[in-house]
Parts: sequence; structure tokens; C-alpha cells
Amino acid sequence: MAGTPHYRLALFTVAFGAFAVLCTTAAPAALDMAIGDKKTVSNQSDSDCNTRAQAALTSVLARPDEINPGEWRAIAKVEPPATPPQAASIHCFPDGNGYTATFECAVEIPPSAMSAADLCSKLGAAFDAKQSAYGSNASPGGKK
Amino acid sequence: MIAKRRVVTGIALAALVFAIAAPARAGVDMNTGIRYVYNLGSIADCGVKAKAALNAYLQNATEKTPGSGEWLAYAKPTNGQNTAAAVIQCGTAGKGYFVTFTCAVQKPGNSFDADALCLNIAHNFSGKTVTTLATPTPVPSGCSTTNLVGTWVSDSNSKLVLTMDTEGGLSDPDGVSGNWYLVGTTVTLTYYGNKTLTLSADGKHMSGSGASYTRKC
Repeated sequence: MAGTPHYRLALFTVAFGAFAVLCTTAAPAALDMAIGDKKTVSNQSDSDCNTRAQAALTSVLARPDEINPGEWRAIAKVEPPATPPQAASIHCFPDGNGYTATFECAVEIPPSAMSAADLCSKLGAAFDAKQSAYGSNASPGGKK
Repeated sequence: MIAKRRVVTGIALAALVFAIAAPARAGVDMNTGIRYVYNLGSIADCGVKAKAALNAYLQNATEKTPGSGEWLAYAKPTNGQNTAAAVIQCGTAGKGYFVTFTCAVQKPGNSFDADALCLNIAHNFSGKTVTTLATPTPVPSGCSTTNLVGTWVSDSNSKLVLTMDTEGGLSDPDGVSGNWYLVGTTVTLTYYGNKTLTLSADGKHMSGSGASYTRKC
């Protein structure tokens, strides 16, 4: 019985049906938001922060918009009617003889496989990777 | 040889099911840009106001680490899931502090957007006039040619009823979700793949891409 073609066909049908149901059941999407680690950089100008912010957002998400001076936001590009699964912002502000940059990230899970915290970590790394024309003086955390 | 064919057929069927069945998802709407600078005050002062402003529109505002001035709060979950959140960052500026606001809202799925959320949180923080965030719009009655909000029954299967909401989302009785999009009389349904249909002049029917629905109105 177990090896008959009918039994195999029935088994295949049940398995395929279960698989189809699994694939078609929509997992509810949830918003995830995170605050990235602050970067404090000494002996650098605001323009250095802006350059790094722009480069980091472009490399990780999409070409960003400068909402206001020193306020950068990027939203992942998708074709309508699809909706963007990830967005992030970087704020630059003067701090002593340098600047501080802050990071905020938001993702929709699913479809994003990456958490907001991971997105912010990636942005932070990209921000550090963009070398300043005067050398890198970035340090994580609070003020120097 | 036969076994190889079965494997190939199985993989092809699995890929096909996955391709046509992936439902549309909600996306992220983000707002940032409002920044205040106060000439006097501490990070702690900022934190007190940040927590109050966040909790006025969201709930359970928490500071990333005590004293950091980095505050995050989520809205009350919808069906167990977070759909809106905001961050307020306080930083030292001379003898005072600066504060920035960043908001994220799931769209579709919320009756307000990230701009409205951030504007109100910022105004609450600064003591300016605030407004009440929009609540879900009641489902309009009657047939409309400007939106698809309401329930639609498949002409080929009366048990297949699509419920379309004011935010451009849709769902069926099995809980499969998707999206609707209407430009003129051209309907884009993202439901088991993208389908293009045409809405009738009276707003009661739409058909195309092998599907046909009638609106309950």
C-alpha cells in the first residue's frame, strides 16, 4: 500500500498542499526602530559629517535627502505599489571643535530580513569607512 | 531519469507557488528634520520633556542607556505588532541642549503618517499647539469610483471575499494580505502577484488579468 502509485500521489498532494498554504499565509508585518551608536569626531567640520552621512546612507540604503542642514534621510527604493521596507536618518551637529552624528533606523519585518539595530550598525560602519579628507577621528559613544 | 524529472518538477512547482503567493507587505514612512536648540538646560531637562512628549502619542518611552538622552517609544501594538515609533535624541549644545525628532510609521496600516506624528511630538515637547492624530476613517457606504474601500466578492467563487481598507490594504478570509491601488479606472491589485484590472463606470465591478470582482454596496 505504502509504495503504490496512488499512495505516493496522495502523499505528494498533501505535502504540496501544506507547502502552498505555508507559502500563502502572510506573516503580519511589524515595525522595528532603533537608535544607533553616536559618533563623536574631533577636529573636523560639519561638512565632513555631511559627506560621511551622505556616503553611508547611499551605500547602505539609497541616495539620501538633506531635509535640513545636517539632517539626512534615506528610504529604500522600491517600485510602486510596493512599499519601502527600510529607512534611516543621520543627524550631524557641531560639538566643540568637531561634531557628533546620531543614527536612527526603521525597518518593516518582513519583508526586511535585517533588524533596525543591524541596519544602524551597518550605517555606523559605513560612516566610519568613509575616510575624511583630514583623516579619521571618529570614536563611538559620548564626547571626547 | 524519472527521478530527476520529479525533482525538477517539484522544484519548479515550489518556485511557482512561492512566486505567485508572496503577499504584498507594508512599508516604512519616515520623518525627520525638526530640531530645536535651547540655550540653557541639561540633557536631563531634555529627557523629562522627551519622555512626556513621546508618551503623549506613543507609550512606554525608554532611554537607550540612563542619562544618554536617547529616547525611543512605540505606539500601542495593532494585532500584536508595532506599527509606529519615534526617537528623540538630546545632545549638549554649549550651556544648553539640542533635540531632534525622528518618526517611523507603517504604511499602509496607519491612519496617520510619520510627518503628523513627528510634528505633534515636537510641538508637545516645545509647548506649541498640538493636534489629535487621525483615527481610522470609517468605511464609506455606497459604490465609489475614487477608491476601492469595502468588500468585493469574486465572480467565480462567492467564498472569496476581499476586504479593502482605507490605507490601500486588502485581506481575504484566509488572512492573506495584499494591496490595492487605483489610478483613474485602472486597478492594481497586489494579491498573489500583481494584477491589472479595470473598474467599471459605476464603481461596482472590476475585471482583468483573469479575475473579476463585484463590490458589495
